[in-house]
Amino acid sequence: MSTVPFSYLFTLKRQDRVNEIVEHVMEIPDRIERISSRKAEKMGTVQKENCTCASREKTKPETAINRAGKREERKKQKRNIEFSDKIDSILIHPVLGIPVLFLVLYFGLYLFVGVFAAGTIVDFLENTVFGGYINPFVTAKFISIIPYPALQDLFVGEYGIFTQAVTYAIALILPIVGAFFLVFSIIEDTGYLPRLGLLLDGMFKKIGLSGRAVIPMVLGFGCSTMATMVTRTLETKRERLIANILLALAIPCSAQLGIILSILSGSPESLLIWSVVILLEFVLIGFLASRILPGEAPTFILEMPPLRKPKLSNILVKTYSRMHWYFLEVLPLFVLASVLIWIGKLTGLFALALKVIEYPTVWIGLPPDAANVFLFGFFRRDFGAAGLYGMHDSGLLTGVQLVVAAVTLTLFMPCIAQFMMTIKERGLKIALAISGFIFPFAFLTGFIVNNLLKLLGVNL
Amino acid sequence: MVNKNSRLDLKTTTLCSMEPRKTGKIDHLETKNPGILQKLIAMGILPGMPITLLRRSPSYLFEVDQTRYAVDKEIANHIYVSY
Repeated sequence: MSTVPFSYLFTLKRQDRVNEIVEHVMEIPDRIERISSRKAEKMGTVQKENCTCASREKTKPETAINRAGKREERKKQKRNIEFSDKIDSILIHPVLGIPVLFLVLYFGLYLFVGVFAAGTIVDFLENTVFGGYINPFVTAKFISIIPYPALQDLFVGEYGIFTQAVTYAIALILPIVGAFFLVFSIIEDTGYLPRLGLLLDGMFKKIGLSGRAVIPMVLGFGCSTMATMVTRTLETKRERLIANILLALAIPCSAQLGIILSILSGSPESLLIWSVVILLEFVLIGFLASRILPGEAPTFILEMPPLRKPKLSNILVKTYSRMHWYFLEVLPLFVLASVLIWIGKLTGLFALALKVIEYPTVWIGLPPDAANVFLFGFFRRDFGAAGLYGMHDSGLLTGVQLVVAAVTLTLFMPCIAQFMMTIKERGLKIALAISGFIFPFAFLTGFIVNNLLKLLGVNL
Repeated sequence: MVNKNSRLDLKTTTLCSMEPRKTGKIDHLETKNPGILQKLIAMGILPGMPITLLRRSPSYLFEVDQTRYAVDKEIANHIYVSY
């Protein structure tokens, strides 16, 4: 008792006084009785007859007096409530809720964001609009105006501020993130997310998170950078840290997902192995983190809004304002990344880093050329994965090597923007610690998967 | 109707062991954990309010004052209900 601050006790005592006064006047509201009788009706328990009789008796004289139109309206309302209650009970059903979740993920995430936005639209914008028209034009203009190669490289080089940062932000990130925000706004407005939190709370507790963490995790499939930002909503520092680690390690962002799906789509077995390894990793690391990290276990309390039909105007406004905000937050990071790469190339640090990464690359059974897939993938995801794609096309990689590369690339640091967002949210020390853990761990997993597949004699 | 019939022999249990789809009254809140107590009070879950437990699995879902809340077992154990 003594640990409780005085103000809470005061609130409780005051409530006691209020209750004493109110007790004589207040009955449990009629509404609740009706609800519970309706619930009982659905339950089909023995009480059923009693309750429905009671409620019918109650509503009969009332509705008889009312006009017919009003009765209709009320009936309709009641039916609506019952209908949404029915959907609700499917969404949060411990068994039926899971296939619904997969349906939502498949249509919303995979088909719309992954295939349509990340595939079709990005392809058009990046290769046709920017790659074909805007970038060559700007590059030519820039080179004709400023004759210094070093500066040219900074602005319009392979990783230049304009050719990489701005192109990347507008042609790649904007459509993917926009599509994802659109889907997310729809899901959010229906009230599905808190229900998902309720559904998955038990499972998330095992990995040291509460049901609330569902929101950043789902967002992570869109963009880890954004999801890292959203870990702010979690209650304790410990939860935020675990969510951050899992986002950086195991949750593939939409750019990554699209490319990996297209590389592995040739053989379903590879895809299966990849997803099982990533899922296991997610659960294992979450479980270990929740054991190792100090602090209290999370608690879960969430308000459950009623299910609603989303309104188009709300969705559009939300999507727009989020894209706007996100764009302003992320663009400076991309520009900074360009500057860093420029410095790295100028000072020769890049070549050195490439040499260093070659060792673990060979160690996990990949050709040394694959090292630049990882290094460039960290700066520019599509470039890294495109390298992987190219190696796959020219037949340099076997099926097993492809799976190993895909697993390692997924577990590897997501991208430089995510890293910088981690610094911003968690501080430099923790960000470095997370990377210090992920870097060897990704290769270790690649190593294990490679040797396991070899040992089992799997041929993909 | 539950309340009218059982007003004479009210049971006080935690929300965890309450039967689902029953309406009762919040009797008191566990005050051992200030963090949880603060959350409950802040969300307007106060003693004396009518409470309906809607679901026990996958987590506890209840209704207080026209608002639904989802909580885990830990927090449900902090709410004592009489019905």
